Amino acid sequence: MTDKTKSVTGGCLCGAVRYEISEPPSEGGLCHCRVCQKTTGSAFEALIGCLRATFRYTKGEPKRYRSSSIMEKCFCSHCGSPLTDRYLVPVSEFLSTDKVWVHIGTLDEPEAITINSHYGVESQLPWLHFDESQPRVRCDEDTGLAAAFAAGEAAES
Amino acid sequence: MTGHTVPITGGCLCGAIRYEVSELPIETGTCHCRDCQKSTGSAFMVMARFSHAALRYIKGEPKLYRSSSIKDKGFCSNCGSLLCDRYLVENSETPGRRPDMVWIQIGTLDHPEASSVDWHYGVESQLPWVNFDDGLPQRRCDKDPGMAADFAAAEAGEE
Repeated sequence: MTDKTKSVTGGCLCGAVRYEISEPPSEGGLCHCRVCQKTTGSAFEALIGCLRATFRYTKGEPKRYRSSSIMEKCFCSHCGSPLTDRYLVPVSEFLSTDKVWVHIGTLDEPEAITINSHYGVESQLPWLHFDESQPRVRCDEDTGLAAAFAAGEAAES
Repeated sequence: MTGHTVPITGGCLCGAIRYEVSELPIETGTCHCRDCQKSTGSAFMVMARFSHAALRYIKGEPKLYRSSSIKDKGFCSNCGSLLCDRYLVENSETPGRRPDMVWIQIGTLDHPEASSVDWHYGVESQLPWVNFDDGLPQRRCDKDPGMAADFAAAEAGEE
């Protein structure tokens, strides 16, 4: 049974798509890579990784876009809000295919989430400053990512 | 201040929409309001203001969504990238909310690193882990009388 005291809700700007997460994590991470900047139009994506079994759409359905051989992105086709990212090929134990990454700006209470890691820092914008003690990973030095792309492309061909 | 050279180019993630701007940005800022969080999915929006006449779509056109009586938002209907905001308030006292202007989301620029930020808006909903100790002006949406006046004018015009 879903613990309603723990579950959180969110949705897109226009309200056509709504979702619920039954066991939300309290910590998330940022991705500063160029794909994430292009997707949001902002400086980074801010994400929480939720087990897919704990996430469900409660109203409407997003449009799906396959951004590469390893990722599917979901957004509202009416207002454009980006909602979720999902890896189709595992990049690491952490960036696994059993999770859905929810864009925290679409949560009804995004202020409940803390940020504890940074990815794609090779394209972090120069006017942004974060706690330097938090883990920081460059996409172009992530061997798991390169291996995932190779596997994803092999599976497609 | 800006490190851009003209023309400034950009586009959506999938490449269906490409644009070019023939002038340097007039101003660039972040907005932390809940609408901007919902529409970017991120902690804040970062947008640069240009004259609308300086923007030209080279390939494709964004889908428009009217998010309120005062604003249209443009995004790619194929990949979802948020590209631009355009206000519709003809006689606004705030130049950036007149329809002869357009705000481009800087994350869609080919060189977003060339942008610098001039101010922060909507700071009443700034997330607790976002810290700008840059000394730049910070303003709350709910203490902006110009915004309230623009909504009132737009709603009167719709009746």
